[in-house]
Amino acid sequence: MRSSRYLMLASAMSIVAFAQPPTSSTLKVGDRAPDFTLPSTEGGRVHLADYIGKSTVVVAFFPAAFTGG
Amino acid sequence: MKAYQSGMQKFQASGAKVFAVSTDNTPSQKAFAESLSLSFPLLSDFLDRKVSQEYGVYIAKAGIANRVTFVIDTDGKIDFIEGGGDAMKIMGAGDACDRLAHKKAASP
Repeated sequence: MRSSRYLMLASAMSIVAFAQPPTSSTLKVGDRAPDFTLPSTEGGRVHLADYIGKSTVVVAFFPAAFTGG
Repeated sequence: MKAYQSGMQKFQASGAKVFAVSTDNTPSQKAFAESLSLSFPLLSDFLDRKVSQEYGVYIAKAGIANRVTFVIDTDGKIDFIEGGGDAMKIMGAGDACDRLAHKKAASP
């Protein structure tokens, strides 16, 4: 009985593990985008809020400069 | 980033503003942007990695951000999230921009 219970637990955990997309975020569609102000390669700083209401904004996170993609 | 550069025309046609964010410092990003002739700004989350953490894409062990793209609508809400694998796939993000552009055009 005990081993089957462990088996059930293990399979339940593996389902949870596989249900998570490999590259997800803690944010969900419909959430408010966290505001930010960051230094830009074009000089000065970019404040996200300055663009909200004016245009669609694409924020693309990438691991490090000089990596593929 | 190369994929984004080649997809820029589609983003620009939809009127979207593109920012790429990494935990590199600005001088590294500048050299990178110049080497690829990128036409959009790179933003540096070098100082405290706060933005990467707030967007839930931070890989603490490596000190870098995961490859994830967010499309934010004009209400400031996240419309689309795309996690990239090895290669940046941007068609989904491009389609999301198009859809939002049409939505905006349709609304009074």
